[in-house]
Amino acid sequence: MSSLAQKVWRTALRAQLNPKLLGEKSFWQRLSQVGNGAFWIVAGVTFFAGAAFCQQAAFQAQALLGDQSFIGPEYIVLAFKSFGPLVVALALMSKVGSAFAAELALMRQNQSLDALVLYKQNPGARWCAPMGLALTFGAVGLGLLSTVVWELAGMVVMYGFHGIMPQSFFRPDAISRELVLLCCIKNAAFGQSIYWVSLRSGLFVGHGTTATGFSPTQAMVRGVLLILFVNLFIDFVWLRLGF
Amino acid sequence: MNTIFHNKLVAIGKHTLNPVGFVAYALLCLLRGQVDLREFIRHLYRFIYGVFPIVLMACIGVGGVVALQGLEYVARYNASEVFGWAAGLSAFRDVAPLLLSFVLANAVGARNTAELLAWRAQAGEVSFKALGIHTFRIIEGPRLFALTVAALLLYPIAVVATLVSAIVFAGMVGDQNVYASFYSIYHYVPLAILGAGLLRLGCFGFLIGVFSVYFARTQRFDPLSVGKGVGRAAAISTLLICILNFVLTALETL
Repeated sequence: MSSLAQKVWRTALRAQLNPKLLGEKSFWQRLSQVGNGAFWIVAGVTFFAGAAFCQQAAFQAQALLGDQSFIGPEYIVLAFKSFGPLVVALALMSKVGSAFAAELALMRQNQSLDALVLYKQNPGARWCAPMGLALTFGAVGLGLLSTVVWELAGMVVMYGFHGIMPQSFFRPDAISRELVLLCCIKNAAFGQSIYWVSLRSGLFVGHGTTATGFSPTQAMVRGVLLILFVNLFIDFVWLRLGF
Repeated sequence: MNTIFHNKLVAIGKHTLNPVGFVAYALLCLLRGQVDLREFIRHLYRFIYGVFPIVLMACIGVGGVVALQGLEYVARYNASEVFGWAAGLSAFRDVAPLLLSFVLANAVGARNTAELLAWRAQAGEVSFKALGIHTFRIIEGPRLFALTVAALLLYPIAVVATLVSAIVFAGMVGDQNVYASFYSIYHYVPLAILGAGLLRLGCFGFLIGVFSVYFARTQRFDPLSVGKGVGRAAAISTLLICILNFVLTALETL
């Protein structure tokens, strides 16, 4: 059992780098699962988290400095640099990562994974690896889309609570190529982190129904911690690089 | 088309009114004293003890995020004396309670749902009902309220851990004066902010508790549904936490 899980684990990680091994259909199905399945939850979480941040920042700026003109350029940067990718990753972990861990744990319990190996179907490459790529590309796509949602939330809050027109709040000149690159790097790293954690929790599951139920919980806890520390590491490297 | 619309409407109504009804039922049970104290204390201990290392690690991560974010503004506006104030506001009220509640939703809320679903799958609910035992009083109620109180009790620890991590990290990475940061917190951050953060985390804890129990009540309990239900409970809790966070922010700043 354990050697089978080890074998699938290794193949599932390596096969992501070898497109010949991956099933194209399986990749698109997984991408749809990530994109369609998580879009509304990611959009909702980003919108309300962004709205709360914007309102706090605008309130503090008005109370302390009497000036809200710098909120627009600072707020849009947060969507790309810091809180935007983090919020997307946490929502994606809850929605997609846990479901993937549960799916794998169930396949381990009912021995479908063993059957796939027996019939030389290579489940690591055909079943798991497409999810890894889908999570990476899906996280980048959702991360970029969520920046739009984040900015919309800011516009709504600034217009609704402070009467600032959206066209004066929207400051695309604050976004640089480096920021977009950072956003993509962070989201891709978070997507891979979610995949690694869910894969590990799903494959190395214990015996029985209870263990199947606990597998997504374990994936989520480890995932949240890993995302926080990966975020910290990337920010640290970015700061050291002088951007 | 009309049937699809009708079904969607019914589903939305069901999933919004049912949790509201469940909240009312839970509060009524609490007022009537139908929540077992011994079980409540047992779960409170389990939740705090079980989640403590995770919260501590998460707070170190969150502190790092707060520090790096703050350092950038400090460098840009040349305002190192307000770093402590900004880190304090983030740790007490804004970023830390929100990210900590995400951790609680994933660590404790999801675990709660998984345990309750596993209990139902092993015919626990049926046997309790056959013996005439009030399941909310013994099983669900203590977990729900223990989660709320656990969130409140973890708040001071989380705040201290986040703040210390942020200040130490800023001192190490950005040469920010540690004493000046603590002085800035002491001097500029009002104590009322602590109350606002505590209130937030209490509300978030209650929300996580309600939805972790609610999803365990309504979800099917075959292995795949258990996994999906756990994820759904955490995802919906995360979304509702963000909505509640915005509502509380709007009320505070009006």
